[in-house]
Amino acid sequence: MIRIKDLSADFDSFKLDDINLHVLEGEHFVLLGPSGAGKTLLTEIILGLRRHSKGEILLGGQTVRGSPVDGISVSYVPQDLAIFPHMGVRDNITFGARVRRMEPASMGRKLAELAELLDITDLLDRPSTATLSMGEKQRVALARALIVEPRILFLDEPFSSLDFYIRRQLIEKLQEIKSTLSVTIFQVTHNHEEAFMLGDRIAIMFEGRIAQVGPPMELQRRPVSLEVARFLLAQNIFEGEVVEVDHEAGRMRTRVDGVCLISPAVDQLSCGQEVSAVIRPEEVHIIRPDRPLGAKVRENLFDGRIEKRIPTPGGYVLTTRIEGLRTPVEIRLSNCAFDDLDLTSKSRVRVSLKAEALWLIPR
Amino acid sequence: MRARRVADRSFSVFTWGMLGLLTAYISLIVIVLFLRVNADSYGDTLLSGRALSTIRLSVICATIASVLALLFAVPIAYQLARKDFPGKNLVDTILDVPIILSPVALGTALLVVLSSDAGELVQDNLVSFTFAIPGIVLAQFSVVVALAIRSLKAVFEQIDPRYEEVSYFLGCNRWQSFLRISLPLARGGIIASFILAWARAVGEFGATITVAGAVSGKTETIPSAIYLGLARVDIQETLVYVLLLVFVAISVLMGVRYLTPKRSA
Repeated sequence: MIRIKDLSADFDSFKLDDINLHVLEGEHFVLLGPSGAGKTLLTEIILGLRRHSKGEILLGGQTVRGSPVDGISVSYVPQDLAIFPHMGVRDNITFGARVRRMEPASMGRKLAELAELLDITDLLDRPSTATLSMGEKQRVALARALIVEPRILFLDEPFSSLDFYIRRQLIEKLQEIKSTLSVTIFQVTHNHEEAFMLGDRIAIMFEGRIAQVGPPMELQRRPVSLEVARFLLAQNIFEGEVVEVDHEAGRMRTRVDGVCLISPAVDQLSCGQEVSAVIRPEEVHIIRPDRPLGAKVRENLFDGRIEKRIPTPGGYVLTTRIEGLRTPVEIRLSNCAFDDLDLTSKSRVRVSLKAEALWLIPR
Repeated sequence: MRARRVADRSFSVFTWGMLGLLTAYISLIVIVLFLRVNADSYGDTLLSGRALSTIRLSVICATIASVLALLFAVPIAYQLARKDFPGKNLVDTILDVPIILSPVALGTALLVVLSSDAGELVQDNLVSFTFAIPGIVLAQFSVVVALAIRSLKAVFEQIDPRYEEVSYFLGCNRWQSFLRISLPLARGGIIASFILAWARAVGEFGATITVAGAVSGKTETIPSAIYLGLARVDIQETLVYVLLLVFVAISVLMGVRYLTPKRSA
């Protein structure tokens, strides 16, 4: 549905470099990156609102070259929503339908459907949008974009100015829209939760280039670079050297300080290679002494001591010192698991760095 | 600490003092004018046939000139606000010339153009400008169109182009986007710009008198009536006309303030 090949663009103080992307029909594709990565710029170039200097962009099979393409229905919800201030709620939502001369009965039906889907039926008769909350404005902007039945919907940071509760509600609403309407969605965000909850595939963007593209689980477990790993909050990064590769068993061993970490074998890596071993805090488990070991946590078992516990919303982050490992290991536990384990700041614990979740990145 | 308090206080006194001084100065001028006019003079001057025709001519010419100015200024200001193009600075500068140029100089230039072969051809076959009513409209238009472009450019620059971009994707072509989105959003600014242009046109003297003259009962506008009144040393009549312009100025400024979006602070 969207194909970008070798795209480069030069602006005054910023450039997009060698971008290649392919968004499939019906896919919810998320462009994730920190502020200033060039996400909005890339979106505007795909939409034809800005010119690129090199490469090719195909939107629904049509070439984009510095102006919006005709012949394919595309809707766009910008970051600031651009709700028309001189129109009421109903006129805002039906604007596109009226411009396209949609038959009034059909427009009315579509409006009612969307209003119900987005819970804005009681807002339709508001003569002004000035008194709408940000969450309501987001829904109105979504309804306005969807009433024209687009084949591709572009969303630029659609939930960035919402508080946590409303954002979560709208994320769920967007999941519902995705399953109800057959529309390809290209969404830009800097929010990890939004990206991982919604994206079928996610592209991670840094400083004008795409660092990695893949399904959410692949990105979490198989970051291609330390930059991606750090961005995806994989706090546990250990530097070491590959000491054994057993392709038959699909396992390899990496020496990190005084310990050996077992992980799935990676084709490109060989013995003697210097690597960074990465594991997310959620994938490190504290083993209860009174319970039998599950198959997934039998490898990479170490003794350690909790050094610090930091409360977070819904749980704790524990900084744990493992014997033989210079760098402390971060563990993320829910409140329930923390209470269950009856831990204090100096507790001795048995820790498993789940082998399947450990990933090696060449240095 | 104390020195800082003294400095802060003195700064406040300075800024408030300057504000009060200038407001008092302008108010004093108006008040003195007002007190200087005999009560009978208002009726005598404003109800006379000559004054009524002068006011009527001023209002009609200023209205036509302002409407024409806006017809040019709206699309030009939109284009200047939205698009970058080669030579934009030069075009911008050319359009600003009537603002900087003294109205008498502008009128003289117009007179020279109208006296040229091409000018004569237009005047002989289409419409006569020199010492005629169309000349008043032409002079006023030439003075106010640049002002209208300046004020409308600021209005369009304040409207986020994002609204137009979103409307493209909702199915608008550029005409529809302009007419349904940009123009309604600029409505307050356009009305304010019209009022400013109209008030400037009503008060226009230099270019008007150079092109159209001040023929009593024919091309006499309010400012030329003031000029002629002074020449006749008819102070009462002159002051009534001056107060009329002051009244127009105050009404216009209040109207523009009401119509222009308020900024914080």
